[in-house]
Amino acid sequence: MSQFYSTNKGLLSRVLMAAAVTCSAGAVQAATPFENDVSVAIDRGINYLTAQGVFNNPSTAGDGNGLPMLVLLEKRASGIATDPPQGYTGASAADQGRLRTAASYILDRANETAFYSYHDGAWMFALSEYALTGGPDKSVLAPANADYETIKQAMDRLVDRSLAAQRQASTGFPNAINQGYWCYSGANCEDSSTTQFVVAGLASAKTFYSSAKSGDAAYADAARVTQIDAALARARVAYELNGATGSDNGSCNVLTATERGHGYNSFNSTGYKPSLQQTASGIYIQLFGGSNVNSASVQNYLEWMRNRYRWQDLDNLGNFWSGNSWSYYLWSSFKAMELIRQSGVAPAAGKLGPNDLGKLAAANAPACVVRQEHKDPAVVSRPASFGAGGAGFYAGEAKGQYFDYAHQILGLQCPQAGANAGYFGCNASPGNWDAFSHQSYQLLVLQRSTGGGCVDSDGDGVCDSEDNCPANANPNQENTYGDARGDACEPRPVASCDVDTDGDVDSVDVNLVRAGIGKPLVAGDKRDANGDGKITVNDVRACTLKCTRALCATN
Amino acid sequence: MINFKKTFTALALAAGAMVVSAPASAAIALTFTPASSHIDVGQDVSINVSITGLGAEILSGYDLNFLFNSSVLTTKDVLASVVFGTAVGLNQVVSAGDIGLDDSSLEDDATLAGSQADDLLLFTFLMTGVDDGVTSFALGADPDFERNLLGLNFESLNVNVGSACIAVGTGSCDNRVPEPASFGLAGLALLAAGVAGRNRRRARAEA
Repeated sequence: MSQFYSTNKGLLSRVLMAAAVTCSAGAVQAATPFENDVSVAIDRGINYLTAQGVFNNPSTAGDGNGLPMLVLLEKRASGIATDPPQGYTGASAADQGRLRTAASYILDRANETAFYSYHDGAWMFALSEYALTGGPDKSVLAPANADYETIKQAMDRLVDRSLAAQRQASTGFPNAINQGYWCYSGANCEDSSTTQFVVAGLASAKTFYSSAKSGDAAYADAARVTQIDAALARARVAYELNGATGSDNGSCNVLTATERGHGYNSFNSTGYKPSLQQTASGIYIQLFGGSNVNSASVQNYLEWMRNRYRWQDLDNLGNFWSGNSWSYYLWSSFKAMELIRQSGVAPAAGKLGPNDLGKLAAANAPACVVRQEHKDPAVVSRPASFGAGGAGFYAGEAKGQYFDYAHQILGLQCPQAGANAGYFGCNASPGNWDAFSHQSYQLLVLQRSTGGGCVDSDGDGVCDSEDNCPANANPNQENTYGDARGDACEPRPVASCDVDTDGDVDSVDVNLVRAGIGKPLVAGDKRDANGDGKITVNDVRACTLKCTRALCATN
Repeated sequence: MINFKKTFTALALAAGAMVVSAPASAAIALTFTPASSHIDVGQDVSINVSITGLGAEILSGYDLNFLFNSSVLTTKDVLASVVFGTAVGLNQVVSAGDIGLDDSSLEDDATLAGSQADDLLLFTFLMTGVDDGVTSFALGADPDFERNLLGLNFESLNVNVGSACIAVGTGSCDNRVPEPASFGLAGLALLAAGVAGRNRRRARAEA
């Protein structure tokens, strides 16, 4: 009887927590007209990829299949953009089948291919997110197929060959300004369009190796985390050293003295002027490499972007390929700003932040004739393919980068009646290199994707997305009150409980707290764990929960 | 079947409580059994104290003082149940008219949630009558140091605390007198019954 109740009680607690979350989410979500249309656009967009055979036959998307795979993983089960991604476990049976097919393709292909920046980067972030959200490993996908690798084996292979292909001292580049980049298939150029993919993939791989989860083998791998950190730091330094002034658009050339951006290749070696697309990805490259929003170079890059903020197309704000790059620009720039928003590190006084984009007028100094302001939800119209609704249909939606991008993307989606139903390539779309990658980038923006990468703003070894205090280093994630905010971010008093000051909390400390029940406090009293001004059995219990070892064992 | 119903009911109640923001722990009670008893001088009485209706909550610690009239009753034995798994260890301070008990679990909340039932017998007190009289057997009033029961996240639980009455020798727990208002209501009821009976008799006579 007791055991049955016990089991159900544990389950009950979890069910109730889920019920509470559901109630809460239900109370706040009340999807707006815009959110509804975004959800419809996401479904239609995924249906397009499905109809093109991208999911049932991953070779359709070729080595770019990591992008549509990420789209399925980042899809919100509820359709509400602010809800968590569905991952593998939360996906429908049909989507889980598609994800297994996509993962199988990577596990099969990884050992049959050599390093290639685009597919290796996308494979790393897609496979990492698949694995960390419960995607099954080889023992389920293809247990008898000797040609397949396990998730860990495939990830190791992709990471190791990526690390070996980076420009660094060991590959023949002794100067920091030339290090940190990847070329298409090795270290023979300083290309940023390739580097941005490998960095995104390695940042996700870092999350993978930092996890306590496992498939056929445990994912945790501290040695590879260290190697990835070193590689990402090299890339960050390269982007700091190659931050350049200027623009291909003469009227938007040098606008302020401190703005800096990055072009399609490093400025030092090629003289490429900055582009919006590569400057945007240059921000997340620096974040993944250990910077935060207040770092000097990130501020310089943000300033370059703010001075030239644009959502319609890339005009000629950046060397070449402005049409082809637009959809990737939207994803990389949204991803960079979203990572800053999630970091918990607010811009310091006088510093730029992600919400400063879109607020400069084209006519004002620093003047840039093609710079765009935020769209006004109270003025713009609902795209016709989503139904009736004139100007102001989305009134009430917040102005900002997400609305700018998402509304623009919705307007490009082909009507349901046509041959390309759901494709984001109609109504004067700026163009693309590859239809399926383009489609995926647009969907990832609508889904507010950050691609699963690990930004560790406080350098404590815990990714911002998991960190209970992302702005202050707290590697052990102490959380006296058991809420969403760790002790390092706790405004309420937090006592250490280390009453005997021997560097840990154990039964000796707990007994000292207990012996103090009802006694007056002394200055800086470590026994008042909940900070209520009294020593009670509540403090005994609170310190018990802070013990360094299980059951408060002593050394 | 019964267990399922219990789980389902608890789930529905708690879910409802969340939506309407009612305190989820309002149904938790500390019960004394028997609530009323009579013994002779020199005779023993056993009082069980249980916590009931924990639901999604747990019991993770307590600091309690059971108070009684020491001229009527004395403590013979106190038996504390094991409800915490591994614990700091029971601290028991018994003096005339006061039994102080405190303890706290060393297990984490999730472990306790997985091991505790909804209802737990906490203590059995063996008390001996020492002289004629009546006494309550109840917790002291201080919420921090005399009636403090801990739940999840080292927070104090909101508990409906009961008590027991123990009569010894010539003493009696049944010494309550009806209030004047109750007399009035009872009289009105009697009067109404009389009128109804007369009306029924009259109706039969006229039929």
